[in-house]
Amino acid sequence: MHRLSPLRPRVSVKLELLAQARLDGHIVALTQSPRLHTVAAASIEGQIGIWDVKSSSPNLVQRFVLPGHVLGTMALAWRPDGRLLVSAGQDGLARGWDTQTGQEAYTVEGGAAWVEHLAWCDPADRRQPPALVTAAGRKLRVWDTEGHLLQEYSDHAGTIAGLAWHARRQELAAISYGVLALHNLTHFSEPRQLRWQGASLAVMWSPDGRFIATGDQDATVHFWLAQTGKDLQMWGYPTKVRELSWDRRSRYLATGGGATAVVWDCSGKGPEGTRPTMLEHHDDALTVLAFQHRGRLLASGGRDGRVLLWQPEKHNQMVGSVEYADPISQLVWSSDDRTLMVGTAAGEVDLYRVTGP
Amino acid sequence: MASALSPIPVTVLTGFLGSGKTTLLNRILTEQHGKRIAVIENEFGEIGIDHELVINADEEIFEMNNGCICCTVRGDLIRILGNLVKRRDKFDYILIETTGLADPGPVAQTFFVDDEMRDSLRLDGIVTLVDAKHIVHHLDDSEEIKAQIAFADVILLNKVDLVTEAELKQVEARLRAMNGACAIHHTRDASIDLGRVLDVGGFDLEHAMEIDPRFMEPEYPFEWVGVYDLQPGRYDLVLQEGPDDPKMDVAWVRVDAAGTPIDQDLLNRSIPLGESAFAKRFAPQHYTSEHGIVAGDILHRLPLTPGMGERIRPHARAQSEMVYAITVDHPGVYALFTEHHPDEFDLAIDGPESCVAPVLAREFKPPHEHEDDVTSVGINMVGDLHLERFNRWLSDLLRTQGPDIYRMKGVLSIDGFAEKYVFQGVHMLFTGQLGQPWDNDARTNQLIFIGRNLDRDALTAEFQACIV
Repeated sequence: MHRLSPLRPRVSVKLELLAQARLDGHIVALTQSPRLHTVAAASIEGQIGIWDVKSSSPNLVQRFVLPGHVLGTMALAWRPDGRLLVSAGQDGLARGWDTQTGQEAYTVEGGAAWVEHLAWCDPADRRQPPALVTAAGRKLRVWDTEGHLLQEYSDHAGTIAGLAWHARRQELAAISYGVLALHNLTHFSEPRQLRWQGASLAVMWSPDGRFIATGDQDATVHFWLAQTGKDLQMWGYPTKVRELSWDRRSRYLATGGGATAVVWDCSGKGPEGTRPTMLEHHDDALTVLAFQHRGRLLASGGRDGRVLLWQPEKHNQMVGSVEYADPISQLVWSSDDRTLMVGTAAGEVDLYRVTGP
Repeated sequence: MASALSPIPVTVLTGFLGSGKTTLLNRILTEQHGKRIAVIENEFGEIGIDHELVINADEEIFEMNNGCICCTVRGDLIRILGNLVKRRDKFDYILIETTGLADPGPVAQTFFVDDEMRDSLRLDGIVTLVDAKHIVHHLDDSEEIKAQIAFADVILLNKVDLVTEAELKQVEARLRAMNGACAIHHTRDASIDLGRVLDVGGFDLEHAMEIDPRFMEPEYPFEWVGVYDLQPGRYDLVLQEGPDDPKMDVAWVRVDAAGTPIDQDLLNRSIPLGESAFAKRFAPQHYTSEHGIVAGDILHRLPLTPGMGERIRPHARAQSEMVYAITVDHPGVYALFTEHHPDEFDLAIDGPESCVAPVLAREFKPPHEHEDDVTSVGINMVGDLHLERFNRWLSDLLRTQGPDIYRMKGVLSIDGFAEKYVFQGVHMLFTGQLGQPWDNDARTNQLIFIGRNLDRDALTAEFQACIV
């Protein structure tokens, strides 16, 4: 692979390292608490770290390192009140951790060898308490806030590869081979099924609930219109697509599937027939994409160890960067968009202050 | 720039339930080989596996919307292997035990089609376990086992203690006809030197041409020829009791005058004489001690009756020994062609003075009796290939017959290139590159296709048409 010229940002966005933490092994999950002042990360070796984020140095103060799941942790999800962190692992369990005491509050079985995905489903109108959804193999289980089983859907077409909750629509999208299932968790009715022969690997709602985007094994991206169930397929990616991120206005979808970040403009009639913006400055395949919650910056991370910042609305030039020795595995913006959290394959969890442009 | 790590080798174990996969797996895991092995198991229940890194998974096949068979991959493996490579410092080898009915095609393709798998893992080989006793029945009614045999880099013909030597030979010949490129080992309780199943480099281009040359040859009705330089006199062909065959056909021909140098060329010249004699299999000459064995275009059918015949020299005879007289009238170079391999009967020729050994001998692959729809077609042809013509032919072939071609590999001599061109492929997935220069090696093409309903004559003729 050819080396690109030294990184030369066009407009400078400063990334200032505030704090560093470390776990043993590849960081597979990184998430900020809904209460904002706490972050949690998990490693493939099992460990879960919880840190308090401070406005003055030291900016990350370790609260707990929890044992997590002996055979490997796979996912993390904060209960919306921030008092409980749920983890899922290769021991077939989901564990609830009290974030005040670090004690295990409850343990539930996912129903297969690995529990791979978690989602806290919190209706926008708050008329119902949030529910936890675990996905293990073909089984999707719904639990109340304390870990009591509410419902099980065991007849998914294949292993569930991803979950995405939309609070206003109150629909949970679950992808498995050939099927995008839309579950209504209020009535526990039979899920709406959108079919297509292919294997989706990642799923994400547009914030406005109009589109569901999936990244697929056959190197395509699908846009599903949630209302009609119609879909639009985007071809031409070099490899399978697992990296997806919507911007705040549901206008731009950033997609990976190779070393180039491809950004589709979904305004107007949608992305069909349009030319996407191509963001090229990674040397190797992308691993993660993250738009800011309210701002216009897009962060991309790759196997080349680079974290790059972009302003795809304006141009296709990189505006900021930082480089690691190991592949980047996680990128998470704080809720105020002022800090960017980076997780790597070597177990690093770093916090950056982002300023400018 | 992130550092690149060397890919982790992966071995796939296939074979019917009861063929001994789990026994082999347990052997591999308990043997002291210094490797830290992660195991992915699709097969449940046979025998438990006691190992720290075992992941159970249901087989999940991902077919793509375009219907292309070569894009069909195993979703469960992508998911699990994708997680394993995140902890690659914890182990250095991966074993996958598939179900008895698994199609190895999508398993193999997973390692070539999916970029993430291709970059971080290396498919080392497909090892297929075969129950020597029951395979015959499965071969007739199971497409799965045929595919498992066709895809194998290594076949362990297991439970050999449960069959006779003759049965074993027959099974092996049949497997060999289906897959001419794999190594076949006989085992009991799946006991095998692990060097023969792990790190075999089955998909390495460097090994693309390590095919047993015997299996590149056309098939002959005999398994062995020995060439002797003899003076006139009476000789004894002595056999010991061997496999349970009622008879053995042999041909005895005079190839040339005495004193002719006995080399490969002479041996090659003798083969048509043996073929001509063996063509008389519907009109053989039944051996009697009266006539004995005489040189000529004759197929001698020797009855395998223990104790028959008398030796010309005093000898401490075993009771089961069988003696047939050979009379040599003129000095000369003689060739003996035998239907079965002489080792099975401890074959020897006793002369008036002493035992005579062949000056040169050659083994041939055993002929097979069954015509399976899965076969191997080997092409061994001198000449340089016209690159464009060959490319066009191969891409047409893979487009039209790709789903039926399980594996292919070989070394090609391409016109205008000083280096050998090595290639291997699975269905329509083809990888090839220039390798070592030919230098002093004779330029030749050696390749093998393993597949279903292959037309040997057509493939050979079409390949020949690509030669400059």
